[in-house]
Amino acid sequence: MTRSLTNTHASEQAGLLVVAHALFSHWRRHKIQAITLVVGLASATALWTAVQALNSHARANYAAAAATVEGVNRPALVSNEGTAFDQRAFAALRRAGIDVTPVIVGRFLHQNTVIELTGIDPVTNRNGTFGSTGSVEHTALDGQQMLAFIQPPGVLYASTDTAVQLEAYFSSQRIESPPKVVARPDLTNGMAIGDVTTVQRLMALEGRLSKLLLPASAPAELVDLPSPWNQTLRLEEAAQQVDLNGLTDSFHLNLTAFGLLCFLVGLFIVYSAIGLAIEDRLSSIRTLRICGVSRRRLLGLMIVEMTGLAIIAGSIGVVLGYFIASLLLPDIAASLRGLYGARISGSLSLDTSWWVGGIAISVLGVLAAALGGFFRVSKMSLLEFKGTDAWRAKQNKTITIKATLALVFLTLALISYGFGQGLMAAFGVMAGILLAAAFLLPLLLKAFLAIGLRFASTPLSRWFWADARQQLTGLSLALMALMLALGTNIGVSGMVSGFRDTFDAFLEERLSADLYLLAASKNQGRAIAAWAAGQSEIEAVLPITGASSQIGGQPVNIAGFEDHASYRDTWSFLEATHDVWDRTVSGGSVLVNEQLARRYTSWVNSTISLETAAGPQVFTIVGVYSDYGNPLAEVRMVNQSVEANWPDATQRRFALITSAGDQVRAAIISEFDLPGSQIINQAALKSFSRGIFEKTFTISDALSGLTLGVAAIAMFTSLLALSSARISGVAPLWAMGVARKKLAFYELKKILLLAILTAVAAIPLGIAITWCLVAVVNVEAFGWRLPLHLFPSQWAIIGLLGLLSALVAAIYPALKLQKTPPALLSKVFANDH
Amino acid sequence: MTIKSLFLALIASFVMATTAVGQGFAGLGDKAEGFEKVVPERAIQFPKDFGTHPNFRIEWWYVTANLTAEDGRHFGAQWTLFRQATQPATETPAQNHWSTSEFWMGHAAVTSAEQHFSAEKIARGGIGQAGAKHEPFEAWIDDWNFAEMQVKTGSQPAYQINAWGDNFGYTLDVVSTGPIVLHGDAGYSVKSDAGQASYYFSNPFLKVSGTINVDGERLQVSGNAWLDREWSSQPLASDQKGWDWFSLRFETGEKLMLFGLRNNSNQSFKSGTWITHDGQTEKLAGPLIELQPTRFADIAGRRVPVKWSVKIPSKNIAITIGALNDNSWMTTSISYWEGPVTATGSHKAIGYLEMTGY
Repeated sequence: MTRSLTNTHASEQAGLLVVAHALFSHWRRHKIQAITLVVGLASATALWTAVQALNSHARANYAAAAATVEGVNRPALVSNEGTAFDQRAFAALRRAGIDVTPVIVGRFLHQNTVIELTGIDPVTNRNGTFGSTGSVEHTALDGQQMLAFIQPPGVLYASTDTAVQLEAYFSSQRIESPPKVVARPDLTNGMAIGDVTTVQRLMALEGRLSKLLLPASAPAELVDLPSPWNQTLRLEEAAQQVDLNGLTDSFHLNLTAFGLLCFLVGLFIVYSAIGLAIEDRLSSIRTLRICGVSRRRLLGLMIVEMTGLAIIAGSIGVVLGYFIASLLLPDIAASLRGLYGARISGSLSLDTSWWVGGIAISVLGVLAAALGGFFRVSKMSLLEFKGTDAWRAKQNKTITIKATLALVFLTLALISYGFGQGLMAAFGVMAGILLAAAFLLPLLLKAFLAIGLRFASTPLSRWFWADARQQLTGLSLALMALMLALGTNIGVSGMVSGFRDTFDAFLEERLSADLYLLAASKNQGRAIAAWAAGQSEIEAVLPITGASSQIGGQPVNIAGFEDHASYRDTWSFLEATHDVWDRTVSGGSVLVNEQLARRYTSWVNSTISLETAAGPQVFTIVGVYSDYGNPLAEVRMVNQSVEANWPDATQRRFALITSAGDQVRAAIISEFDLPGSQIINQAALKSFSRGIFEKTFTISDALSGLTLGVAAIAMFTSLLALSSARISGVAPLWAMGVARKKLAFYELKKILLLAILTAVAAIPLGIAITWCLVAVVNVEAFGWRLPLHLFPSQWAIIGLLGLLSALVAAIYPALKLQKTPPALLSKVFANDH
Repeated sequence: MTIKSLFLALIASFVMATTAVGQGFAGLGDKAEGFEKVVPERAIQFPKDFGTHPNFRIEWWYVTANLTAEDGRHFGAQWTLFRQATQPATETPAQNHWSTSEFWMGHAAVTSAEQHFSAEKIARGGIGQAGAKHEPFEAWIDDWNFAEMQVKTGSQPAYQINAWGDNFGYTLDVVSTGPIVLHGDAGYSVKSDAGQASYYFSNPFLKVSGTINVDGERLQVSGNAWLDREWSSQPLASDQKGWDWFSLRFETGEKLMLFGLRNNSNQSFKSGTWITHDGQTEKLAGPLIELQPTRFADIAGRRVPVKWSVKIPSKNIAITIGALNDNSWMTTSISYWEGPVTATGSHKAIGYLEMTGY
């Protein structure tokens, strides 16, 4: 009994293997299909993984930064002058019962990167917060490591990247007995933490401290400093915690949307490849069923097969995605640093979660794409007999369905635009437009080809048009993918170029002064202003006061300005009263940035209530200015108003108008011992500001370029998949005497025609996407709207790129057709009776 | 590991010095390479030896006080400052400079029959946050001070001691009414059969008055205190895991200092000093002392003896020593038991008990 059971089991196993072999051999015979499927899936997964990798890497870095900035929430004592002070203050205050802990901060420039060293006293810094600069909260140090931290030559903890830079710096500067540098991935990039003695020694700041942190819990205003420290030190209130996650959300949503778009384009390929693979196998599946293989077993095997393919392709995709992400990372890092001050490290590690996530999305994508096929197999009647042509015929019918879907998506886009709110709705509008356009494409192309057919005169040209229309069904998915890619490219580059132009004009207008400086303290600021007033080559010194306030509990920046022609002449407004400057100068009226206006729907002639030292105060808005790149709401008013309402406003920023910028800059640096980084000329500031956005655009450009690449692959694989079917299409013409070379040329011409039509159709789609980005997504993401600029030359370039990719994709199948042996072509007629 | 536990590690390491594995309680049995050795010939010098000894690895200033409030309640107060070096001072350390090898730790406590409060402060040397000097005498860490006052009562010095922690604090005025006594052989106090020793002197003749704050309650107190000064480079043998130390003031005016250093097989190296009411001392060798725990209590997850039987037949002493508060556990980085005790039996006394290594 046992034996016969075993035998049954063994024979079942053998049977399973035979069925699997019969089923899977399809891929051996249709290598192109297999490659199509793997390439499509891998590229889709790659782009998705790349975007996820970048997002999660950045977020992990924010978490490190959040731990870092924890200390910002501790009030601190700093010198009145904003400079380092005598460390004797530390013991004096401790002995007076004030529980302070010292921090010394020094910065140096190494290969254009600023590295900040923070020295702490681990003995009195018990809760692990080290001011705005760093923390070793997660550091697991045992006693020996702690002694090594304190005892010469000491230890510096730094992020992996910064550790490398530090080592290089120490050896290039021949630093005597440099501290041991220990890489800690959880630390924020660009900074290092060491013992107070280590940092004092390295930065030649022996005996000096930058700040004394007070306990977070202590009522800071009650701190009674002993003499003489009450004369030299002042209280610096705990700064508000910066929520990097909140700030950068829109940035990441943007990336995610791109990732999703890339993935969808990839799925187009997968969908068509799987559809073909299942339809091609319907006859063998039927045979297997007739041989007695159960429906369940067949379906099970197919699911295993698809999952296996998805895992292979997904794994390739994850690795590719990792490389794409590591290529894009430096730009992302630079962009986040510039836009939000968020520092992220420049090295990625291949995380387990990406593997799992990448493969999971690949498997899900494949199963979703194959669902229709599985359904067909499960419902298949054994007596049904339809070839692949039947599937194509069905595809033909679907053009109407597609057009209907297009209408549905368009309606959804309109609903999302009309009623939706937030960035998700904005992306909803964009997705709706994209999908509607994609599904509309086959109908448009069919209509156009019908017109072509009507005007065709010769039989061959009539065949050409009719055949193109015939082929449309098989190519429509690839063409849709191409149009999405072209449309996205046109849309994104239109937005980027538009922004570049607008931003350049904005910088010209806004940065009208020649030098911008940040004094170390109010006193130094006064001294510089007094000095500058006596210099003949300096035309004007314009102080820029700054304060923080709140509107309904939300932070808002207050910036003061001096009434001067350089503002009146250059600033333009999105909206303003005719007497905007006079009213602002006379006080009571203010200018607000677009972000504020949009956030609080407060435009010209409305009022806002700001928290001032004397309680809430109402101001009338007389002008709204664009303020690209600023994530925060901002209010501008004359300096006198700022000082009157916020008496402790900072007065350390100045704009200088001078014709001898470099000379004045050098004079101020030597006269006031101001660090060079704190006095910047206009050109440098402009190029810095442009640099930030250029980095952001690099990412968008790269991702949209990659989408185009994926579309080209879609095109190529679709054409390859169709090429075998083409033989039966062209064989009659060959039989009528049309040379194979000419037929191949016709094939190429046909693809080019379809690609041109698609590219033309992509232009309005691109414009719609540009509009969507500047007028909907940007407003939701950043709080400012860009004017819509059109760049026809870009359309031409992108269109040509699209044609080129279609041409490249079509050449191989055409060549293959040209080289088809006559025997194969004549074989087409062998089955005709 | 959070910074807190990291900090515990620091303390452990600084008390354990630089060897990889500390030996004896808190590493006090570690070898003391490079540090000055404790030798019998060195004479104790006053007031210099009230100050620091940078060439030795460890030293402490220790005050314990038995206090009575106006309402009759009994309290104990403790003020301790430890100096620990990881390397011997090779040259005179610069002023206003963060030391990288000298650490200070302060412990303070107030004990009542119901409650025990303790606090700790830790600092680095060199910067002035903590330290000690002999003329005028001052020992401090942050705003905890033990300082000689300029106004003297008669020819005897007067001090003020203050410390605070969560829910407790005290300010005590202390007047010395008797001479300083040297333990062991003129201050050379042997700690093990292997010859480990420390320099050790006390002032058991301190009268105290002042205020303590407990749980928001401010109380006038008075009583007596005991000052210990001790320094060494390797006070324990490597197999000694802890000690039991007693200081007692008898109603008859005599004082007694006793300690038993327990080794890994729970055998004690005992020693003591019998102090007459005028400060004359008599060294009590180990065999003369019988020291036996009679009751244990479970405290902080440990089994700690809170009642002792002490017999010194040569002095006709047969007493039982019990704690004011069984739970006098110092929840400091290195934890130990320290609290006021009373003795009954052949003699009546009050004093302090310190037990480590449990």
